[in-house]
Amino acid sequence: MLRYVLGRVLQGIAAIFVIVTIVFFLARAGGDAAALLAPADATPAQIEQVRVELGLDRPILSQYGNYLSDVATGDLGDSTSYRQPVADLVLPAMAQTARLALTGFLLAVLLGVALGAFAGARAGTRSDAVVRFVSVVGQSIPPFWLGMLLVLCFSVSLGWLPAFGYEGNAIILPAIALAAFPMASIARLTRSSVLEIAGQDQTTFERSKGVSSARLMTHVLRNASLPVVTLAGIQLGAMFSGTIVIENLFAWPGVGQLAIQGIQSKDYALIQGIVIVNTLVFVGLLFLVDLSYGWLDPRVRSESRRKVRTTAKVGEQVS
Amino acid sequence: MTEFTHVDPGPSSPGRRMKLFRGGRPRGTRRPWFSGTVLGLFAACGLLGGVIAPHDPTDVNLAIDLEPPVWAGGTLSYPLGTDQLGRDVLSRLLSGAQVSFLVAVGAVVIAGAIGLVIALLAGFLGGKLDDVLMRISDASMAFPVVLLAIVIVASQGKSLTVVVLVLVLAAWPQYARVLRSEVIRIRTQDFVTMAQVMGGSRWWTITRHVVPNVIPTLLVLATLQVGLAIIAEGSLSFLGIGVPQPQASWGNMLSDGRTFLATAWWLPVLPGVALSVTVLAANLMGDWLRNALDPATRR
Repeated sequence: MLRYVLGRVLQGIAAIFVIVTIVFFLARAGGDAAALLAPADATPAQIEQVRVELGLDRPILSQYGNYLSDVATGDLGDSTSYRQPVADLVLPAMAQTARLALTGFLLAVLLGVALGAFAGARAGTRSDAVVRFVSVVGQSIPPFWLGMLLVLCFSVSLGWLPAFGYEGNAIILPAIALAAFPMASIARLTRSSVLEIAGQDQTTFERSKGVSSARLMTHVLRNASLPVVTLAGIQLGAMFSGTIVIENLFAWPGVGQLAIQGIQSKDYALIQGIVIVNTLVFVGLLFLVDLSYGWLDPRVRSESRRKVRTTAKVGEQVS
Repeated sequence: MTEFTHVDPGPSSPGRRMKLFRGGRPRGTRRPWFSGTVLGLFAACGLLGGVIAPHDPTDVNLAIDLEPPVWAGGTLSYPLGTDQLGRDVLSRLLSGAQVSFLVAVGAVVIAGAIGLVIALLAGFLGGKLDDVLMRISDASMAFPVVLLAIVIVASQGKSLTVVVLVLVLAAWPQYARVLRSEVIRIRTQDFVTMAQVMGGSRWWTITRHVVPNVIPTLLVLATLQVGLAIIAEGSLSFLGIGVPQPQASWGNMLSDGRTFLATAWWLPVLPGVALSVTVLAANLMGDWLRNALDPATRR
């Protein structure tokens, strides 16, 4: 188990390293990095000053070395549009994003697993057909449009919930809009996974022994949970970037809003910082998912992650 | 596989507790009339949108701004109404279909081709190369699409090409992973061993015996990816980092239309309906294809 954990930590560090490298070289591939990292309205003299300050006139490998050590010590540079350290901007925004993403995720997992398990256990019935229909539709509606429809319905027409803001019940509409897509895919996968386990001998045996439906369900769900946990983990990561669109629609003060402002004001330093922090969060989440395998399935503790990962099949796309 | 050895005991009588795990087989699939028709229409609009559009989609005419659709009190010359600049909504929807079609087909074909080649290399040759390729695909799959788009747009600017590039970068690992496991499954089958024993070259064995057998899986994946590509293009354009204005795209129209939620409902609603129905059709078609021609990935 220790070896498994260590291996995963190393892979995570490697992934972060790769992303930081890509972000670094992308800025320098598109022409003059000093112009990219200087404020949008900078004069040539100011650009020259930025070039010297950031060491952009030095050889690229020495720049790269400096950049890596800065990032490793938590220094993400300064935002040119806000004129303050990127880390001070990104971290509070990340807290808001996490609040929205986790709420949506909880909603998606609870509803998705419940609907999927129910449909799987009642395969072929009308309720199964309804769940299947709902989940196909849920995977077809773009989240931002669903959000707009929710606003049209609950804010504009009925006036029940606020269309934007971030306090109190303002989280309800964005959380639903964010949750619909992952909920649909979790429901689909749970259903097929439950169906698969339900067709195996141990379920037939338990049923013939007269085990109650509720108890049977807990046994089936535990066995069916492995692929669902993989998907849920990937979805949780995807939700952190899925919020970008939703935050934009609902004026939620998270990382997504910040990123779009960064694009509009051509603040590349800010965008770099957001991407790196997001990658950290994503890698951390995948790490937790991998640990939970070990807890759910004793076989994994000794095996490599790849073998388990091959359970991912067609259709488990991420938004 | 979803095998059941049980006879359906029929609907439970009232008063009894609901019994779980007693269902029959899921019902067989019907022919995909709905999705076939919608996708056909989508392709037709995508190819001929510019020809059949009644007006120029970027033609501004402020004298006729915000006219409602014909059934809500508008005129027949603008059957789906006009937007805040007096542009014809129907023509813009058709023009948007062209963009979505181009993006979807472009992204799916390029990503599918790259994914197939990687899958053949990784699955057929195996070894260290397989490990390296799969690690790379793991890493790229882990990186979120929108974030990728933001980085690329921030450093390279926005264009239709960038949108396709982003979608290709995001999608190829999906093809590579699934097709690789297919290739491995096929490689170990007798007919491939026979082909090699016969003295067939590696190239011949791959093109003649392996590729034709992964085509069904590729087709299923590609169809499902069409829906994702269309949603992704919509999201990027909605955020203002996708298709540049004033080119009409469904995402751009939704982005413009969101300020008219309370006053001109057709602006935010109609492009969304077009988008969702097209994606729904692609998803249903993908599911149907999976059941119809690809037992390997059936679930």
